[in-house]
Amino acid sequence: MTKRETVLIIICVFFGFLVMSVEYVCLAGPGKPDLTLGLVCAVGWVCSFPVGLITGFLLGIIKDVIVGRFIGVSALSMLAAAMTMMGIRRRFNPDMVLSPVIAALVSSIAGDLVSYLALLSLGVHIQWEFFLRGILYYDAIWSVVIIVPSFLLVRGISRSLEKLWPESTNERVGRSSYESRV
Amino acid sequence: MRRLFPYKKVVLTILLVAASVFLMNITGSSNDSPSFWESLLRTCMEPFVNLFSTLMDRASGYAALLESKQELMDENKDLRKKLGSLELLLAQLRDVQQENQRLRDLLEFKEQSAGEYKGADVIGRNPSKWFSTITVRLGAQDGVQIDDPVISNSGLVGRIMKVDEDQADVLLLTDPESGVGALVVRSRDYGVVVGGSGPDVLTMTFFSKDADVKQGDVIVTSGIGSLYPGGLLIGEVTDVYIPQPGLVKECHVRPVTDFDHLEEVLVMIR
Repeated sequence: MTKRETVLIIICVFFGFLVMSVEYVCLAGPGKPDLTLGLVCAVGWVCSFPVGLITGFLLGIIKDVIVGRFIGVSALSMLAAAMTMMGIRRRFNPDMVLSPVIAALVSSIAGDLVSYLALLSLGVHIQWEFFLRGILYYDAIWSVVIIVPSFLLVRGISRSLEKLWPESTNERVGRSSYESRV
Repeated sequence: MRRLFPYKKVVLTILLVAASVFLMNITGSSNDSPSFWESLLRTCMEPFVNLFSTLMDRASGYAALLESKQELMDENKDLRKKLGSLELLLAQLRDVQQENQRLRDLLEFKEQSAGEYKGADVIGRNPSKWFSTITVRLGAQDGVQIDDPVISNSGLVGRIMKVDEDQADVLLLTDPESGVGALVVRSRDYGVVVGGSGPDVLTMTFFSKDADVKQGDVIVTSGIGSLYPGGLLIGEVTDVYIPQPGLVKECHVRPVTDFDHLEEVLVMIR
C-alpha cells in the first residue's frame, strides 16, 4: 500500500466521522439513509482493493464502538459491502453512470444480509418481515440515492490527492485511485 | 516476494474478516462485563468518540436554536393544559390508592415491594436501525441498577441495560433482545412479549395455541419473574395468527408507548 493510499484512508475515516455525526443527529432510526454505508460503497468503487477494505473495516468498527452492541457486526457488514462493490466493478464499465448505482444497490443488500446473519449468530433474532420491509428495503432505496454524492466526493478527494501527491514509479503496489484503475 | 502478491488481497480479506468475527465473539459472549479486548478497544477509541460526541452536541445545539419561539410557546400552552388534567387524574388516583390500601388492610393482603419511581430525562437515542435503546439522565449515583423497569406516563418502556455514574441505557420493548412476561387482561392468558418486529410493533407468543385472545385485547405485564411488576400496560392486540408449525399462537401488539417521542420516563428503583 502506498503512502498516498494511507492518507486516503485517513481522509475517508475523517469523513466517516463527519457523516456519522450528520446521520446520528438528523437521520437516526429505521427508514433513514445509512450515509456510512454509502461512503463505504463509494470508497469500494473508486479506490483500490486495500483502501476499500481497510476503510470499510475501520468505519464499521467506529460505528460499532459508538452505537453498536456487538463490536464487529458493522465491520463485517461494511467489509461485505466494500467487497461486493469491488467485485462488481470488475465486471461493469466504470464510465457508465448506472454502474455504481446498481453496484451500491447490490452491496447494501449484501451488507444488510451479513449484519442480519451476524446478529442471528449472536442470538439476536430480528423478525424477517421487519428486516425486509423496515431495513433492507429502505437501505436499498437510499443506497441508490446516496451513492451519487458519495461517489463524487470520494472521486474528488482521490483526484485532488493525485494532483497534490503524484505516485512515484517505485510505488508499484496497488492502484490508488479511480483514474489509475481506468 | 512477487509470487506472494496475488495472495495479498486474500490474506488482507481473511485477516479483516477474522478480526471482525473475533471481536464479535468476544463482545457477544460477555453480556455482563466487557472483556479485556473490548475494554482496550473502547479505551483506544475514546478520544475519537469524545470528539464525535462534541460534534453531535454542537449540531444538536444548532438544530435546537433553529426551533421557532412560537412553536415552544404553543407547546408550553399544551403542556400546561395537560398538566391540569393530570393533576385531576392524580387526585383521583390518590383516592383510589387509599381505597386500595384500606381494602388490602381489610384482607391482610401481603404487599409486594413496589419500589420507588424516579423521573429521568431522555438525553439520547441509539441511532442504529438494528437496536432500540435510549439514554436517560439517571445513573448509579441515583441508585439505578441493571434490570430496573422503566415506564412512561402511558405504559411500560423497557428496562435498564447499562448503568454509568450519571446516566443509564434503557433497552426498549421494541429491541430484538427484549422479552417481557405478559398476560391478556380479559382472558388472563399468559405469554411473552418480544421486540424485533419493528419500531412500533411487538410480538406476543402464547404458551398454548388455544389461548383466548382477539383483536383489541389489552396486554399488561404478568408480574411473573423478578424483572417487571405486574399490571403495567404494554399495548393492544392488532392481529392474531398461528405461525408454522402450528404449536403456539402469536399476536402482534401495538405498544401504548410512543417510543419515538419519549422525553421523560420513570425508573423504578428497587
